[in-house]
Amino acid sequence: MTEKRVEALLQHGALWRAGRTRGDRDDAVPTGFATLDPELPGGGWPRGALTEILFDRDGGGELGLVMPALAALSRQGRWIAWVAPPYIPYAPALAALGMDLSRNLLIHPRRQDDALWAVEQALRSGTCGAVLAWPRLCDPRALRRLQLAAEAGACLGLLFRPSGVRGQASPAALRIGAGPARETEGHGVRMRLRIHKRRGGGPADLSLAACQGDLFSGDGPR
Amino acid sequence: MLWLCAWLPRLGLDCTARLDEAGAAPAVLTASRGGRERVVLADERARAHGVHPGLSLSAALALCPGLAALPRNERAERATLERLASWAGRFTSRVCLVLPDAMLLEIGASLALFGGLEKLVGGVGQGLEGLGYHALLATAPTPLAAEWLARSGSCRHCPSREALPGAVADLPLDVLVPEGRDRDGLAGMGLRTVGDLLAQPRAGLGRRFGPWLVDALDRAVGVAPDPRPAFEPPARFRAEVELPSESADTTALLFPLRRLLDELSAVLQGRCLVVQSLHLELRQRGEGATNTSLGLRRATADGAYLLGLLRERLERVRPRAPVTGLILESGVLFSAARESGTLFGADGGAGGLETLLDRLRARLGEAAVEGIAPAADHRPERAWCRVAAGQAVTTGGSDGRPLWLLPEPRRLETRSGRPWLDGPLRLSGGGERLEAGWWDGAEVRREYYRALDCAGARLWIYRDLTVEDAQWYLHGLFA
Repeated sequence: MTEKRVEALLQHGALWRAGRTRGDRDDAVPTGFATLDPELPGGGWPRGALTEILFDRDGGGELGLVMPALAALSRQGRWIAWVAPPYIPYAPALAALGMDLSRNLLIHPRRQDDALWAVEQALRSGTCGAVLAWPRLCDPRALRRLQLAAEAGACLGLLFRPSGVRGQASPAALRIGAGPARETEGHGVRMRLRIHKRRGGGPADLSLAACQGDLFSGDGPR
Repeated sequence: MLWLCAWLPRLGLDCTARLDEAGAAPAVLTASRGGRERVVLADERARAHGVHPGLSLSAALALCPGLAALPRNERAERATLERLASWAGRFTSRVCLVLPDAMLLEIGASLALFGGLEKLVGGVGQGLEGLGYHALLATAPTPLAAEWLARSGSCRHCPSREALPGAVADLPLDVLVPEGRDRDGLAGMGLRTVGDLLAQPRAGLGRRFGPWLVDALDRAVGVAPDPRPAFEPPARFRAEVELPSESADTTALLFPLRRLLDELSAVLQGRCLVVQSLHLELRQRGEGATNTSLGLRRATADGAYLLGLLRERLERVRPRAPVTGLILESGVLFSAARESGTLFGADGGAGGLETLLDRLRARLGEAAVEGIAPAADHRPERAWCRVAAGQAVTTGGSDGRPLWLLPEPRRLETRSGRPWLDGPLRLSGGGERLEAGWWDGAEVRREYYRALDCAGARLWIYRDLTVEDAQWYLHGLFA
């Protein structure tokens, strides 16, 4: 019982541990997926760095992949900034997945350069736990700026980009391809991931149960 | 009591907006006197060419062809002096204006706090230089003696009342009577210095020149009382600057703006005040002005921070005509608990968020940042709402809803009775029937399903039951 309490305390984001320095395990946010965490350096999404999530088609589980981490960050009182999301982040579903909605900021820039500027500001502010962005055009120079901003703000920078940009150079610490899995084994929908780039490791393929995948179990009517 | 007098001999020139200190042309201030435009103040570069006050403008231009002649603006000088008096409130609670170009600070009670006379006088001098004003300082136990010492340029510090007559003795009579008939009369009597005057019998001086002269001497040496009205700092900060040349480009405004904000910041920090709103007016050639207001989430006293916000704002302001001047006015200044740095540098506290929100709103507009919350309605498009960023929300989640909602439901094709989106869609759960809204005119009758497209993407679609043939729509994505 006591051990559990200590464990819960240690998970608290506001707690500063004197023995720990940057570069330790703290610099990653657990993904919430037991099969994914061991594959990632530090055991989660890298804090103070960019993570690129490459996907082809909206609705393949790309957002659900980061949802457990975002929900945990928001409950620790960190801010989640959505810069120019392509659709409406749906409040009832976010709340159902454990997100503290009062910690979410939606930012609606009118122009593309304003969007990149807003991403940089949010990353750099040191207030946001994570910044989500869907940049359409993003050259390596802009990515480099964002990477530096994420380092300065010790923030999770999540960029959702089409998988076509996979061939382009990127300073992101983690590049991961996400999409629905062809096979549906047993219950629920699964998704396949391909880690294209990670610190201290080569590419890897894995498959995991998609967030909200259980909603699709079994055959529908008709 | 100990009075510090700060005399600003170049106030008229210092309060104009100079764009570049280093490369500036020699400048003079002119005013109309005796029907002719005459020099009233010349800066050092102009003096080096032989230009001095009293010269007519045409003569001055002949001496120095590149001379920049600015008309004297007494209103701006007065306003500047008042801002500086406001700023001086950081050293003492008692500041008095000496129009047109000096101020008095009662510093007797502040000496211990600031670590002695030398440090306090140094602080005032450096502060004024830092804001861009040349000042001559002197201290004396009476306000008038302090003013005389400052105006004479001797910058002396007289510690006690006993030493006063000696300290002012060798000052020229200019400090007392700059010009006119009385001056000639005194000179005719062979009197050259204040000391000469003090040595004369008072009664005779009074009969010859009127009681004012005796009164001034008595006040200077502390024999007669010399009450001065204390300056009351205004509740708002207001500064007005005329540009030396018209400017169509708003980035050229940053230099004068930076000076005004430095002043504002110095006033605020000195008096432990903060500002929460700013109004900037860009005056334009001809009629009209462009106005922009800045409301801050976090009250601040930081001039550099305010400049950053106004810079973002100015990048988006397009004045219709070239700008000739600017007016900066603050909202009501109020006192706040002094800000202090955090132990571990930038943290995730609320202060950081306010800074971020201010910055985002300054560039993107007030409405560009918001929060979201669930709303109590069965219709999916009304089951969420926009709220102020950071507003606490009651969490009412509903399971089985997608993470993305389309702003407008998208009509789907139907092929052989099945919904179609780049291929046939396979229904994979749901069947939730929804009938609501008949009471407010936005009635919906729908049947919601979860569906997979042929690439495996997870969709949230519905069949509209209000039309005869079932029409399918895409409403969300399980992203």
